Parts: sequence; C-alpha cells; structure tokens
Amino acid sequence: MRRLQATYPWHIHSQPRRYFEHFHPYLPVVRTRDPNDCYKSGPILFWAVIVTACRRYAKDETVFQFLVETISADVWAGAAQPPLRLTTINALLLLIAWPLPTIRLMTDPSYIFVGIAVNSCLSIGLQTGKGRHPEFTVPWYQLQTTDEEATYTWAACNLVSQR
Amino acid sequence: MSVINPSLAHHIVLEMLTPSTSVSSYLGCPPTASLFGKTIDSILDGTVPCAVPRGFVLQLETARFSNRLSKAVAACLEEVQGVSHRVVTQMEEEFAKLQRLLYPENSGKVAFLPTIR
Repeated sequence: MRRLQATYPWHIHSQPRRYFEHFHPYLPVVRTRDPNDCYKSGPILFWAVIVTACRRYAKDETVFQFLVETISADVWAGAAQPPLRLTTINALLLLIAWPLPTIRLMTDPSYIFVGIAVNSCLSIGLQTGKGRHPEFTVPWYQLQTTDEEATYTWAACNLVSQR
Repeated sequence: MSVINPSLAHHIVLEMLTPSTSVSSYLGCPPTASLFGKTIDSILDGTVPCAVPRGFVLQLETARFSNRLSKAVAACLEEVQGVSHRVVTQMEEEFAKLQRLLYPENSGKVAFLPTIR
C-alpha cells in the first residue's frame, strides 16, 4: 500500500473527495473528512474509502485491481485482532455496503463481515450509543471514540445487517 | 419536513426491495440478527445529540420496517398455518407511513407505485 501511495499520489489524493461526494451520504460512518487524519486513525479504513471511490472513478485500472487484491488481506488481518478498533469496523461496513467486484455469491464475505462488525460493536459497547466506556479506557487498546462515531457505526451495522 | 433527493429516495426503496439476507438464505444459515434498540430509536426520534442526515434516518426507518416485517412473517409461519390478515393490515399501514416519509410531497399510492417499478 505504501508503494501505491508513493506511485500514485495524485490519484489517491483525489479519491476521498469523490467518496464523500458520492458514497458518504448513503452510509455516513466516516466522520473524519481529512484524508491524513483518516489514514492516521486507521489505514484500513483509509484504503477502504479509496477502493470504494475507485469503484466508479478509477482513472487507472491497475490501481483499482491492485487495491482489490491487497485490501482483502489487510481487512482479514485487521479483523483477526480483537478488540477491533472503530476504524476497522467502519472499513468492514464500507466493504459490506460496496463489496469488491471480485466476489461471487458463494465466496461473498459480507455475511461474515456483518457478524464480525456487529459482535465487535457489542464487545466495545457501541450499541449504547456511547463512545467511552471505563472498561475499555486502557490506552493500549485505543478504543475510545466519540458518541457520534459510536451512534453512526452502530446504526450502520444494523442497516447493513438487514440487507 | 425537508424533501430528500429523489435519487436518494429511489436508492432507499431499492434497498428495501432487495431480498434481505440473500446470501445467508442461500447458504442455509440463519439471517444475521438486527438489534434495533434504544440507540436506533433515539436516532429515528431525533433525540440523539448529534445531527443525523435525513437520508440516513430514512434508510434506518426502512431497515427497521423490513426487519419487523421479516420477523413478523417468520413468526407467523412458524407458529400458525399462515399469515393473519390482521398482520398484513398492520404491515400495510406501517408501509404506508414509510411511503409518506420517503415521499412527503407525493404520498399517493397511485403516484407512488410507478416509481418503484
């Protein structure tokens, strides 16, 4: 991913704006609009935003193909490290709402992603609509979120799980 | 009441008409449970502290209706011989309310039906 970022900076930097313009209104879980802040908070979420925007606005097909091949492994690796951070959950939600074009019915990971996202939300207490829980304030976990982020993510979890 | 973008409303209707849990049904797995609770209700009621876009609220309303419908029909089919007409009537009333939310300026059934085809 770092190689991609170094090779196509102009392409990558134009995608977050397109995402927020055309995709974000349907699933407004990404509350940070600054691409740099988004990347710092969670690289997986950042690349999920990029690959989602590239679905319709890919200027270079090789970039999109590279993202599709790479992000799946990153997401699975991130999902295998509980407790999941909010950014990882949001990345899962984006890939559920706008699945990668390489999937087929029997290999669609959305169903598994939904289960991971919902249970991860429950494990860190996002179903309460509160982002701060004393039991998860250990700095090592870095699980503190705002109430707004918790509310949006939990609502989006319910939304995509009903599909 | 603010009027939402027609394309967004159409997208929401399509979302509602999309067969829910299609993948899980095909695989023979139980559908993923939706936990529409207090937090979701506070969003729909407008009592949540943060501002929520109208389009997102409508999507949640649609998902909640779809969830209630699937649960009610599944419960009826499991416990009795079929779906009671009272349940059908109640769901139709809820769907009519949902229509009025989606198309506040055009809630007539005759005008609404061609839109979803």
